Amino acid sequence: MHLEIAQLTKQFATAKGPITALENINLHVEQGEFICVVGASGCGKSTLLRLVAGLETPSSGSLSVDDLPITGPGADRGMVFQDYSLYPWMTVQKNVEFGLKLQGVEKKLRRKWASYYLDMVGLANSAQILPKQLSGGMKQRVAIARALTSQPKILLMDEPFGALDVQTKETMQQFMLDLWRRTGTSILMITHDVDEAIILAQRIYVLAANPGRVQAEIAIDLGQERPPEIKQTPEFLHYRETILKLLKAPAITTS
Amino acid sequence: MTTVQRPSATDLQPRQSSSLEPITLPQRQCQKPSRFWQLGSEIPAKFDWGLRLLSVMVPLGLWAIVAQLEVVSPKFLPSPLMVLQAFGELWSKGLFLEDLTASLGRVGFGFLLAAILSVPVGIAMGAFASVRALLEPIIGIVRYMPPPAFIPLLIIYLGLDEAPKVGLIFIGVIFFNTLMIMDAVRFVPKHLLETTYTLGGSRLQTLFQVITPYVVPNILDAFRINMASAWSLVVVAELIAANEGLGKRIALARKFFRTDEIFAYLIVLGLIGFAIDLSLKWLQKASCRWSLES
Repeated sequence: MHLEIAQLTKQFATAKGPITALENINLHVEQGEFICVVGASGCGKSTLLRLVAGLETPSSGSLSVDDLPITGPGADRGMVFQDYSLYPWMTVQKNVEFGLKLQGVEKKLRRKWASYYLDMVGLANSAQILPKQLSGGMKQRVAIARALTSQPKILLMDEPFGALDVQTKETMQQFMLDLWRRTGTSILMITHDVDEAIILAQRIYVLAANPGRVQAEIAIDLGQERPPEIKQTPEFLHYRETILKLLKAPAITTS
Repeated sequence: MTTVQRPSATDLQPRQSSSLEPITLPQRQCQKPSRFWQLGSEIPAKFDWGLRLLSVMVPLGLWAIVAQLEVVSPKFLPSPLMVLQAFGELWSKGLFLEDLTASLGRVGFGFLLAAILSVPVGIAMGAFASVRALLEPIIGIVRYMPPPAFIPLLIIYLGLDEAPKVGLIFIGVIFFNTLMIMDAVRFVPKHLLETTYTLGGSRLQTLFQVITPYVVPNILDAFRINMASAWSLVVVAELIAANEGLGKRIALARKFFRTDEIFAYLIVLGLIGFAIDLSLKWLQKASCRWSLES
């Protein structure tokens, strides 16, 4: 897998004329990498992910997966949204199977794969219940299992833990690291949480706003094991300070 | 155990810095709990059932008392007992079942035709802005033409048989049904559709396997609401021209000044409409458990 974004610009037409959401973005993700994009709200990072998913079209520049240009959404790029987006009328099992069903995989086989990934996210016992009976963290694990069951080349995650409470968030980050190590999936994740990005990513793209552009690309050299306590180490704090300095927004002034 | 030092009171005092005039608020008063007037919550089950019983029994009792006192002549206001007797008479003559079958048949057939057409059209209008732009204006105009105003035309075109009555119910139901289903489709969360695309779903698959199941509870809701107008339109149609039917019997009863029969059929109309509503609600519960509040 090789995701390549070159000289990507995205403008939106508004009543007051065009707005440049993203300008000259260059970014790549290699096989098995865990990449995070951080930025303040309004820097266009969600738009960037939607472009990779094929849910938006670029104004100029190119996006490709394995040298095939991205012209629309497809199963090779699985997506996980912040609001889980589970199908409320389907059981957990049916939700996870659904991607393979859409692609015409026969029942027996898709059931096996769905069970495999449900087991991997620790929800084998919840297969037959409806999403509304699950907690937020569990819902997000279903959404991740569902995306992985479709066997995407890359997993796209848009603020996946943004709606979770602090403790669940930490658990999910460790879960995600573990899952990534076990599956070897390539991941491109958007977040506004700098700590989360450093814990998870091998490389971080820092986006600046107005217009959204890549301000820095930072390799995170913290090794494979990243327990929550790593947040107290000097290396972690160094990365944190560097990124926060880059992101520093102009102060709010009171007259 | 570690103890965390409590900050001293002076630390927590807000600093008075601005030149704003201070506000004096009344002393704190807690809201008193209430059993009956709690906003947006349930009341104990026994009260609930008691009140529901009162809701029917009080009007019935008042009616019985007023009739008993003969404030109005029984010819105008028959007593509940007289109404029951009139109903028994109609029942034993076999007229009631005949009327009921006729009216239910018309409602059922007209409503079914409208449903078969309004579900796909409503879904298409909700899903495709193109179909919506094409159909919304004309439906928006036609739906405000009162269905009874179509009766003369229906009679000219379709004669006096069953067809114009079925046609009237069809006209009365289809437009509202279509627009309500359209609205439901427009409220399907966009992320649900986008998720389906990124799972490899085509637009057609998304339409049939995501949008359609998502709006089933709303479709049943629309059916429930529009069933009420179908039910009143069948009576309107029968008042004008019919050989049998609940509405026809009411028209006949007026000719013979049988207010007891009119009362009996009014009550029957109410009860059957209520029963249809309850059964659609039940269907919704049985088929769409996912959409109900946990």
